[in-house]
Amino acid sequence: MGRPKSIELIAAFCFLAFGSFIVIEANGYRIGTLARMGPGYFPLVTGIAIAIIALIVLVTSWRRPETSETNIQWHGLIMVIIGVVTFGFLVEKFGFIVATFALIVLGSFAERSFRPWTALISSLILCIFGFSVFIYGLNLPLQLVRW
Amino acid sequence: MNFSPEMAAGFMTAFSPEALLFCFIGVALGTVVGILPGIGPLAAVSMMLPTTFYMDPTIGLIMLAGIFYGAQYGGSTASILLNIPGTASAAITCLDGYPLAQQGRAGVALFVTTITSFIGGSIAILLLMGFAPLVAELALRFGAPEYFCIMLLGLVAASTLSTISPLKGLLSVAVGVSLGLVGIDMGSGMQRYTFGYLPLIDGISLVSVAMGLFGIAEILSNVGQKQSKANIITDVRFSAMLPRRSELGAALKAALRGSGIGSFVGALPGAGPSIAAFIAYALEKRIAKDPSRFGKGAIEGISGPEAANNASVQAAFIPTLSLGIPGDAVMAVLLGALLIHGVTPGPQFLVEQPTMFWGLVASFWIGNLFLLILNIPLIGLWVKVLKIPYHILYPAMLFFICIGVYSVRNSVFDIYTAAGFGVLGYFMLRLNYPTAPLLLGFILGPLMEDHFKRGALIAGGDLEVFITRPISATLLTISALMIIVALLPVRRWFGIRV
Repeated sequence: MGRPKSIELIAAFCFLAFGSFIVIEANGYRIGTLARMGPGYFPLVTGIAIAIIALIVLVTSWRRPETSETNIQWHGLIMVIIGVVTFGFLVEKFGFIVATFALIVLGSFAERSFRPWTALISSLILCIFGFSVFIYGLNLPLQLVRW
Repeated sequence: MNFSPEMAAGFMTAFSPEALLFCFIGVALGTVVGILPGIGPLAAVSMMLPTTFYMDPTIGLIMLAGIFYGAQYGGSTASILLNIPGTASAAITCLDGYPLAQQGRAGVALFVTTITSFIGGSIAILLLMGFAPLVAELALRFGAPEYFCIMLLGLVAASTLSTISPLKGLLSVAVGVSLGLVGIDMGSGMQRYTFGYLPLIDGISLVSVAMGLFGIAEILSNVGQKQSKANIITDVRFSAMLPRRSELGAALKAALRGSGIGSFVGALPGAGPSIAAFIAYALEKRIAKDPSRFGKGAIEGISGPEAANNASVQAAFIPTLSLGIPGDAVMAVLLGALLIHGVTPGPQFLVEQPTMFWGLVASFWIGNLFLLILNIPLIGLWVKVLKIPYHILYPAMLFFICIGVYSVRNSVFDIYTAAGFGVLGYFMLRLNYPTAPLLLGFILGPLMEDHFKRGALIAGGDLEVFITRPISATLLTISALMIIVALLPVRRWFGIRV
């Protein structure tokens, strides 16, 4: 039996923590009985279920390590997420043109072969496309540019 | 099946110019998405979901459905030409499709898969037309307890059937349920898990979850990978498309068998096109006179599975529309879309909105016909699509995801949520936690709570009602059995002699 993969254990533990959190919070709401459920009942049961299953997964992962892909692509992950979060941050402050450019440029960094011109041209095309389809065509309330 | 005026009205709706246009857009988009490895129909449906909010719900649904079943046509293209499946369900088609292409018979393979896909889809649509009204009628006798139990069964099935680790599937479902509970509790008016944070009062946005968990997570999994430039076989001539006569018979029979399997499997919650295709392949191999042909270009090896996966996606609409139980993550998103539009699928749906139902069914016929046209003469076009480099594609996808998520509630918070779910989905994929059950739990969890409370209330607090009503009891028993069967190996896992 090999060594259990640490990331599996961490994940199971996180779920366990999550389940416990749900249970703790649920106790703050009225629980009631099974026949007359209060707002806290269902979350409580669900949280307990999560905690129990997470515990079982934790134990089984420990005793019988599973093979899973542990090759985490951190670089790609971080760049894409930064791109998305930046979009979120910029879109209401500066309008969606700026946000789109930021998204595309940052997101493109995730792939090793970053080509600035390609990114800029893509951004431009997407902005035009987005404008015509989403704002003009579908009347979505989006701000193009904001100062 | 009664030919009613509603049916006629529905068919008329499907033939309106708007419906035809969006049906076409849907299936074309589905084909493209199906062809491209790295984007699946789930991500595409999630991305297009916000655009349907500003449309008539029937039209929006027609388009989204078109993406779903259209993708099953396109999926085999990459399998045959690249030996890389465009959709998970097309993976089986690589086995005999690629060898056929290597033998210079790519045209035949593509032609056969398209025709058998059409056969599979058509048979399933007929079954849908026949069975959905029957199932809905049966389900009209459903009370709140039955709804609770069947949703429970749906969740249990989805989390234990098609996954490597049923335990992780159950965990995934439970997490989904808990996330679905965030927001205002209908019964008491109390805020749950919002911590006074305004954007959470309405709960977590379904679109954020779907797009993050399936769209962003998929992108995260694919970036940074070394893209191997596989040999794309591009020599596809129209004239070389027809199969040999001997093969034609075998292919058609396999298609019929595949359609049957696909329809059955598709109607089950939790089992999707991939399982259907796999079972069909296994069947063909088992009943073939010469099983050694498989893996080297046996025509049954592509026609059976392709018919099966198309049949299964059409059949998946049966439980979704007539019972309100989505059998698949995509169905769950479609269900969510309907709920947002204020339409509640379920037995009442067929009664209250027959035009929508029959309009949708009619659009399936139209869509499959469009796909037949798109996939045979236009096959050369799609081959070119395969050449788009991923590094141009995925930023565009991110763009659509961000706009889509934002536009639902004009909420930046939703974008951050989607990003969060993207990260979650990524790690879940890496660690073999199935992600679809999470979405199903998210959607069905709050509904289940509601039904349970109502069932208990109507019975005056007498909980036996869940066990004494026959349908309820049966459903609960099946759920319990499924859990037990799925978890039997647990003793082995513990390494303990119990």
